Amino acid sequence: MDSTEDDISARVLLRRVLHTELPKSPVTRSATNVRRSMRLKNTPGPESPGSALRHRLKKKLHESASLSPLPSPKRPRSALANTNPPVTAPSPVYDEDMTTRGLLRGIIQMETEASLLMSGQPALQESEPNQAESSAGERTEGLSGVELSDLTLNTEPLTQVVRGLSRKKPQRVFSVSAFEEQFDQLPDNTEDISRVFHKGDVSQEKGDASQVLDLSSDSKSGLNLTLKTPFVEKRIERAGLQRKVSNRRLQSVDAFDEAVQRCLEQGPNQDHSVFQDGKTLEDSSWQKFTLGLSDVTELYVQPKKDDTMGPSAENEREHELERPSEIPDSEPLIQEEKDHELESQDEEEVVHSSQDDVYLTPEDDIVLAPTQAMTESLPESHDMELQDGEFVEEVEIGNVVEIEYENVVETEDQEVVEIEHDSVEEVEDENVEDENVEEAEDENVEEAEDENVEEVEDENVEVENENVEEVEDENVEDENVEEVDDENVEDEKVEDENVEVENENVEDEKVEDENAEEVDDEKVEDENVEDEEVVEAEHNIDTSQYLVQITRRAHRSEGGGAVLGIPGTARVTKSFGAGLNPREKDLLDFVDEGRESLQDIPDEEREPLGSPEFPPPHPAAELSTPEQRSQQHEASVAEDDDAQEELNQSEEEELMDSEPPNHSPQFPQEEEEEEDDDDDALSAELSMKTPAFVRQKRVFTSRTTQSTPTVLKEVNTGPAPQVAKRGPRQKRQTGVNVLPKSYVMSVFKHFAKTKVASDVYPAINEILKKYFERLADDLEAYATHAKRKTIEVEDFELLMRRQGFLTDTTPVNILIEKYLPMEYRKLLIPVATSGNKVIPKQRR
Amino acid sequence: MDEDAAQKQRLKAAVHYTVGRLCQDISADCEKQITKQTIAAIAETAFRQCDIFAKDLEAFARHAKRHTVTVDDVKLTARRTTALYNYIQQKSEELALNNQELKEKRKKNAAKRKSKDMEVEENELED
Repeated sequence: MDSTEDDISARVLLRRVLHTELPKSPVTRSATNVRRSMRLKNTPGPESPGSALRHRLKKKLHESASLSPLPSPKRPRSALANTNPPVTAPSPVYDEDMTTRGLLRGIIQMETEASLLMSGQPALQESEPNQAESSAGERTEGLSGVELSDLTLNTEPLTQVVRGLSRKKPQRVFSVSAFEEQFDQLPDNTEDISRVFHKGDVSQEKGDASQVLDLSSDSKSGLNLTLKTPFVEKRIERAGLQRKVSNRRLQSVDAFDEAVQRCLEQGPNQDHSVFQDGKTLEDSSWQKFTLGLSDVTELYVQPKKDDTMGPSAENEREHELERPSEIPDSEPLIQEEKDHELESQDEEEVVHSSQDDVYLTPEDDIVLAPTQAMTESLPESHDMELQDGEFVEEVEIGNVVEIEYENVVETEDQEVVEIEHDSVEEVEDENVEDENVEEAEDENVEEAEDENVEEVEDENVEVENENVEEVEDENVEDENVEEVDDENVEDEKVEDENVEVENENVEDEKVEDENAEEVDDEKVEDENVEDEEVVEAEHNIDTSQYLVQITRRAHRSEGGGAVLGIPGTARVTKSFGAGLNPREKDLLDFVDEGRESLQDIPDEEREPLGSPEFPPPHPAAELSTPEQRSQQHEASVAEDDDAQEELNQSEEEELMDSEPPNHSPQFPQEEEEEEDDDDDALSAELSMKTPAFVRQKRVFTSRTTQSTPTVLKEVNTGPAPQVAKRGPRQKRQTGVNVLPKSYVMSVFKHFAKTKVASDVYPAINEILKKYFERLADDLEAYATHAKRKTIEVEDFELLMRRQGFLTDTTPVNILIEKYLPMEYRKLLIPVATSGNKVIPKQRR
Repeated sequence: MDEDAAQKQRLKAAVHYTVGRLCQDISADCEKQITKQTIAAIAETAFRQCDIFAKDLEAFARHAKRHTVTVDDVKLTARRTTALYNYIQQKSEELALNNQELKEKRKKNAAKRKSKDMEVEENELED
């Protein structure tokens, strides 16, 4: 029982000290005596040890609660002022007690700084007797509801926090053992006292008792001297010190004054809010916190305001004080504090937060501060939200970046296009060769055809290069004509198209010649000659046709697309960048573009006979040639870039064949299905970039037809001149990344259990390329197998079944609901309100 | 259920036996030995792959809105493996030719029969 008595005495001592220090709490012998008596009464000697422990715990809790919240700066000051006069009051009590208590009390009283802390604590401690006191009441109220352990932990000194300022902050385990260790180390009695209270939280009365005894003994040795080093010690100590005041001390005096003033101004309102409702304080503090930050951070702050449990009202206060005074400076401090809070609160959370920090650091710095704090304070579940927000933020940032890039690209279209052409040519040739090789295996004749095709493609590439340099109008017209021819050729595939194709080609050539340069004409003529040879070989025609068609369609789609005046390269990049954008945005954009493109395409297709009389191309198509050409190049070349794009193109083709309005919903569906097949996010985003992707898809589909089995050969036919024109346009940047690196790496890292180096991106890129190529190839095969020319939803369903996503038990809709965001789902699964304006009937 | 399992076992055994024989021939050619575990693994894989093929073929046929699995479905299944695909291609062409020949023969026969019938009829009529 002695230990219990000692504990009680320590507590009582502290209380008394606090009371004496409190300005509003007149500390008198009677009061102290009363308290003592109350204490004694509360802790009956004959009680069983268990009940005694309970009493101690309660007391400790109160004490710690009182200790943890940092009183407003003013309060400590006032407390200080008040403590001085009342110092004498407890003196008699002190004299009465020469126990350790008395010593501690004396120490506390003697030390003004310490008293500051104590002033808050006693107020809190004496919640019962001093509830009447406003300050005390406030403190107690706020503290009572707050986890004491958290409070203590949160108030780690700034110095420690600053030191530990890093992505992975050393997880500070808030454990009793640590406290014990600290206790042993601490010479300062005040610290011990705080620890004692904390320990109360931990419910280790025995340890406290022993420690208190030790502390008291230490205090005896150096009463006054040691008192003046509490803060330093506290800093050394970790969780034990919840003295936020110490942290504040670290700050400049001016900042402190400012904070104090602000607290005064905010004063009672804040205090009440802080203690009464941690959340409100957090919100206000957060708002203050975010004032100095970009708006983006607010996004993260807001959702987390509620989540951030006020680990301690004091922390919030600190934040408030700090923020108004030094928002930028406080950020790291706050983070630190929060980090400490988290650490103290939950190791796991700390770990998680640290992980999140790592996660967050790569992102905007602006968001870093709040997000870190927020993530730390938030439970793991919220962390996920933050991550999503981070992604969103990234997306936003990526969008901005992409937009900028697009603008830049526009200005440098020609240059880029030219460069692209050169690179594209090579890639394209290689691609064509590869495709041709595949086909050659099937038939010997194909070999010759392949050669011709390659030659044709080379010429086309050259032509395209030259065309790029030409006037935009001419190119546009040429493209239009080519597209028309391509369409015509496609329609006549079944019949003996060779002759007609040749005729058409000739016509096209003529038209092209008129518009194109002489070189082009020559090449076209050469191509025609070759085409005649190739005519026998359907493959060549098919390739050229498809290449041209794709490029044409790409242009058309581009023309019809909302993105006008944006070079194809820009579009491609935009699409990549848009990948980061919220899917909804992309979807909407894509849908719009798709619809526009669809509109363009059907118009063109309706005129099967590709004659010069073909109606003028879509007004939008009359884009700057470099843009168009770049687009074409991208479309023709980027066969491997985006399978989804190709799929989308194929989808568009299908849609074009049928009425556009019907296909618009299908289009996203197909795309979405593709997305389901592929990465959901990736596909959605890619599909959104209609023009470039559409072109790419078309090119891909056309080329895949070349490589597809004989089934498709019969179907594919195309005029030679189209190939010629498509050459330069076909230059697709197959060397370009399939998807933006940042996006790919982020997704990859998300699913990877371990760290991922950025060196893997090239390999991933290649894999993605092949995957998309194969994907589009399969879809095309499926469509051909069904004797269709356009890829339909059922093709996708078949693909998904083969991939294992779909089973007899999981229909497509379930997958849609599971993986796609609401926007896409609405498109895929017809809902009453999807795509329609529902005006509810007003009932009277 | 037991019957299905029993039948499955028998099928597996048949596959295993065939695979074993093939492996023996291959080992003789390569002058290397093939362990039994390898043969078992190959047999099991082949059996499962047959199952997958069957499902795919059915899906393809259904995709083409047909109730019968045809050569086209098989070709679609084997399009990835170029060697096998080529082989199947040749075989299908040969079969197609044979079918055409058969059809021609049938037509001829049919024509002959018709002519004969006509003659018979004429004869009868004449008679």
